[in-house]
This record gives sequence, structure tokens and C-alpha cells, in this order.
Amino acid sequence: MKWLALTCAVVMLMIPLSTHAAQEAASISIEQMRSDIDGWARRVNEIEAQIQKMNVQAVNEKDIKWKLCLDDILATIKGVSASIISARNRMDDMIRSEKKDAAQVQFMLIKGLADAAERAFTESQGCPRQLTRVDTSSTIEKEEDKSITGTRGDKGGIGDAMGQDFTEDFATERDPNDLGAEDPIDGAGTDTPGGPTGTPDNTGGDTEGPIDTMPPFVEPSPEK
Amino acid sequence: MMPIRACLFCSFFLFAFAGTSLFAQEGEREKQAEKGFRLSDTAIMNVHFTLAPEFESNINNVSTRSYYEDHRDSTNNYTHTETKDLVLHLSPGIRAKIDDKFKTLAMAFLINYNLYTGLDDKKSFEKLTTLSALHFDTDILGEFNKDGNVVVRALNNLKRNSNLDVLTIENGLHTNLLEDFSLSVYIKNSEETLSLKLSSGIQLNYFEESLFSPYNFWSSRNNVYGQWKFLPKTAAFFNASFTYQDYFNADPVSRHDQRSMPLSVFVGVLGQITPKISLKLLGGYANSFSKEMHHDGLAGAEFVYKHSENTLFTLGYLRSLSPVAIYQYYSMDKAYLGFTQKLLHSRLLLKFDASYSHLAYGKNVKYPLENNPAQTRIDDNDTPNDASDDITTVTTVTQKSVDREDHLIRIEPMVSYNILHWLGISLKYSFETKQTPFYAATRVTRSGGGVPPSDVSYHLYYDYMDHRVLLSLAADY
Repeated sequence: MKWLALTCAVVMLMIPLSTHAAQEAASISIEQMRSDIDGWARRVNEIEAQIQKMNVQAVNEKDIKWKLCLDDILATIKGVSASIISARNRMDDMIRSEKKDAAQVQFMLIKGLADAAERAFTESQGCPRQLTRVDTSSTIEKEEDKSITGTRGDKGGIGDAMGQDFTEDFATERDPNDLGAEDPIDGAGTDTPGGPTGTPDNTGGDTEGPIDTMPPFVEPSPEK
Repeated sequence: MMPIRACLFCSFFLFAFAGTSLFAQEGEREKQAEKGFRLSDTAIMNVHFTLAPEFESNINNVSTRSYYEDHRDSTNNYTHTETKDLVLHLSPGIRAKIDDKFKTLAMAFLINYNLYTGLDDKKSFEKLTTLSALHFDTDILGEFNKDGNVVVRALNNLKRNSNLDVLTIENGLHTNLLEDFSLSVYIKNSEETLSLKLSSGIQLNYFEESLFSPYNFWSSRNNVYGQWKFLPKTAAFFNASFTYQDYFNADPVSRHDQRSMPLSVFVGVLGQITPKISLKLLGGYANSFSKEMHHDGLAGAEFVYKHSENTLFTLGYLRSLSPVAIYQYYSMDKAYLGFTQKLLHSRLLLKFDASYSHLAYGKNVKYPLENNPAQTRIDDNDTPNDASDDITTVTTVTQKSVDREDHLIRIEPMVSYNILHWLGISLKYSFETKQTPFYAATRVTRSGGGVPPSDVSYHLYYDYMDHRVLLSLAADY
């Protein structure tokens, strides 16, 4: 009963829509329909190419989150593109067999598919990414997620957890020769050659000055 | 009259300075992130300047137990005394960087002029080569293929200073040049959870005083480091390192024995355990392939408590093995703690650091005999046509050279205030002391050659105490 009621509701809804679409299509010539379909097909191909390009960019930027979202949309677009080709062929068959009404239904189906492709493209623009920003030149540039990569000097990451650069916002505590380069490994100083050291900027990591040095015996010069 | 004028001038200066800073504060807060002169979209330049007067109670870190003894005329005897001085540090510097997604090219150049004013002893002002000196510190960095899985980094550091990083030949300050070049390759997976770093570098250390030339060295430092970041802020790691250090100007007889080749291998974990607590734990093995093979253990434990972005407490312990002249190697046990508190919206910083280090040295290869016997060397200058042809110098060295152990303690409280985000002032007190049973006595007798005979002894101890008070005004924009 439930399914029957649902089917009736859908049919009731579709009837006026189909009637409206059929009325709209009936007023269009066959040449106009073919021309419109060619335009929609080109647009769907463009959309597919653009999403494919974004997908490649996502791979290059190793933005897994972005890529997963684009993959879904790209699959949809490819399906839409294939459906348009198929519907276009069916429509041509209908026209050849002089079934104009059936051809108009295929035309409306293609129009719906083209609309679906546009919606999918709009959806692709809102795909979530790892921190994103759009700069003034309107190029999309991925920023590193500091909490994952742990770039030195930024919040997040192992260096930050270990208290590295805790006082760097104080002018007197800044290393005047600190080049501010990222630490590609985020090891909080454990990757230093030689033996183990404390975390840089902490007391144990300070290897400068006499605390870590030694004075071996030097013979005093008699002349001195 | 002059002091009144000076006071008036200082008062005016401070008033103007404080006023300017107060007006600027609001605007500056909004510009916290902006610092440096942007030359283009990817290029930035920073400038630095520090003016820091420092009072030091024992500039040469001498032991007051050291003395000079003239066996022929006791009126010449004297005991070493501490020399205090006021040192003015002037440090202008510049940094420039071109940084984009694919590469970083950067350089830094810092000049540090230390002027010893001769407050206690005018000689400290006059000895320009060892005390007042123009130092510098330069860095050049190149990092390539940053967005790829294989990153290459080359770093070169050249500096002239008197505050040695890895080696002090003698208590006190001895100007040296240190050249350090390293090339590193980082290999990472796409998620940056697995990382491998291969690095190799060369160091060259050159002392400008000829007395210390036997301790000039070059070293090759090679390192393999691997890391598995199993959580965003926590990782397991291993590190294997081998250093070859050669004292190329050493006495040919002992040069081979002095060569130091420590190998270190250790594994551990580090990073965040809870949102407020982080740990580093490591353990490993070290060996010094020098004249004698020495097996040792490596260890490290660091506890970090970060209560908020304003409070940090660190407590740690380290055991390491390092190369050194004469003694082949030394192992260090170091315990340290630090407490840092930021107040007034990160404008005021209170900091306290303290550490204790125990250094145990290998055997002395220059005077290797046990039980500290006197060792005699006779220099008979027998050069033809030399005025000193007939001078005979007998040098007798007595030193405690076996089982040498030093104890170092350092305590440093500090307060710092950020006037602007790029301008700050700080006051730091530093206490440092070394206690060691090590001593050396050298008796030199001269006779012949028509010169008055002499018979003197130098008794040198190496324990010292040093107090420092440093006031810094630093601008880093």
C-alpha cells in the first residue's frame, strides 16, 4: 500500500511536469532541438574537462579530501555525458521513424541531463579541501595544514607540542639568523647529526656556550 | 652638570619612546603577522638590530686557585684573579628569503661587535684580538622540490666568534672561524607520515690564535634519520650518525691518536601524549672509534607540560657522546629544566632555565700515563746561527689527566617585554660554574745561551664561577 501511494504521488507530480515540458518542446523545431543538444553536449564536455583538470590538481597537491569529492562528481558527469550521447541517438531514431512526440521526450531528457551536469559542476566548486584560500589573482592555492605537516614555527605538529619556538613572538628571543624555513621532517630537533639533543629552544637543546664545551689542557706558553 | 644633562636626555628619550609605543600599540596588534619588507609576492627581507650592554664578573673564566710561581724570585709570584668588565654588544643583521611552493632560497648575515670597555682591567680593552672583536654569522640556505616527495636542502654556515659551539680549548674566549656545510635529502610519502632524511656535512674549525692551532679540526658528519608519524603530533624515530673528526694541525706524533670517530645509534618516540603533556623518550648505543674503542649508552627523556599557549614547563635528561681533542671523546649526562610564562597578552615573558651537566672524558692521548707522573720534555734549540743556540729549556708537565670529570651548572632567570611586536627589551641574569678536579702544572727551566736562567711554574686550575647581567634592546622587523 505504501509503495502504491508513493507511486501515485510521483505520477501525479510528473503528469503536469511532463505536460509542461512537452508543450515547451512541441514549440521547438527539430533543427532547433539538434542545435540545443549540440550546445548542451559541448557544455557537458567542457564541464568534464574542467573537473578532470581539478582532479589532476588535487592529485598533485595530495589533497585526498578534495580528490575523493571530485572523483564522485566526475563519475556522475561521465555518466551524464554517456547518457546524452545515448539519448541523442535514440532521438535521431525517433525522428527518422517520425515519432516526434517520443523524440521530444528524449530532448527533454537530454535537457534534464545537461541541467544535472551544471548542478554537479556547481557542486564541484564547493568540494571541501584541506585549508584553501583564493588569492587576489583568483588562483586557488592550497595551504599546508600545519596540524598535519607540523611545519616549524606554526601551530600544530610535533615541534609545537614539544615547546619549540614557544617564545619566538618575543623580539629579544628571536634568533636573528633564523631563516624561517620549514622543517620538512617536523622532528623537533631529533634529526640533528651526532648524539641526542634536547628540543631546540629549550634548555636541553641549547648547545651554544660553555655549558656543553670542555677545556682540555693546554700547555701555557712560557713567553705569554 | 654632565650627569644631569645625561639624565634629562635619557628621560626625554624614554618618555618619547614610551609615548610612541603606546600610540602604536593598537595598530601593531592588528599587524602581528606582518613583519619584514615584502620585495615581491615571494621575496621578503627582514632586518635586525640588538644593542646589549652586559656586565660579566669573570670574563676569562679563570680559577682563583691558579697561580704563577717564580722559583728564583718569589716576589714575582702572583695568583690569578677574576676580571670583571662591561661589554657592549652591537648586532645589526639582515635576512632575505625567496619562498614559494617549490623552493626556498634564503640568506642571513649578522654582525656582532663586542666591545670590552676595560672596566676592571684596561688590558681587556686593549686585547682586541681575543676580547673586543668583530664577529659575524652568515647562513645560506637552498631548499628545492618542496612540494614533491623528495626534498633537497643545502645549508652553509660561516661564522667568526669566540663563544664556541662544540669545543673550547681553554677557559675563556678564543676567536675562531667555523665553516659548516651540509646537504640533506628528505624522502616522504604523500601523507607525510613516513619520512627519511639523509644528510652529510663538513665542518672546518680554525682558531686564530696560533697557540690553539693544534686544535683546528675538520670533520665529516653523516646522518640517517627516519620517522613514522603515527599521530598528527606524535612519532617514532631512529637516528644513526657517524662523525669523523681530524685535528689536522696537531702534533704529528699524537694526531693519529686524537682522531675522533663517534658512532651514535638511537631510537625513540616523541610528541604529544595528552593535549597538555608531551614526551620524548630515546635510548641507544654509541661507540668512539678513536685510539681506544669505547662503548657507551645513549639516553634521553624530556617531559613537556604546556598548560596553555602561555605556560610551558620542561624537564629533561640527556646522555650523549661527543668528539673532543686530546681526550678522544667525552660523554655527557645533562639534567635540565625550564619554565616559561607569558603575561599581559604575550607582551611580558618570564623565563627560568637551569641545567647540570656531568662530563666524563676519555683517556688523554698526549699524556697517557697513569697516576699522573711528571712528564719531562727537553727542548734544546740547536739551530745553527741562532742567537738562542745554546738555550736549553726543560718543561716538566704534571697534570691529573686520567678519569677527568667536570661538573657544570648554569642558572638563567630572564624577563622580557615586547614594546612592539618587532621591538623588545629584556634583562637576563646568568650564573655559571664549573667544578673539576683537573689541574695542570708546568715547570719551565731555562739555562745557557747567555740569557739569565729562569725557573718558573704555571699552576692552572679549571674551575670557575661567572655571573652575567645582560640588558638587551632588540629590534627584529
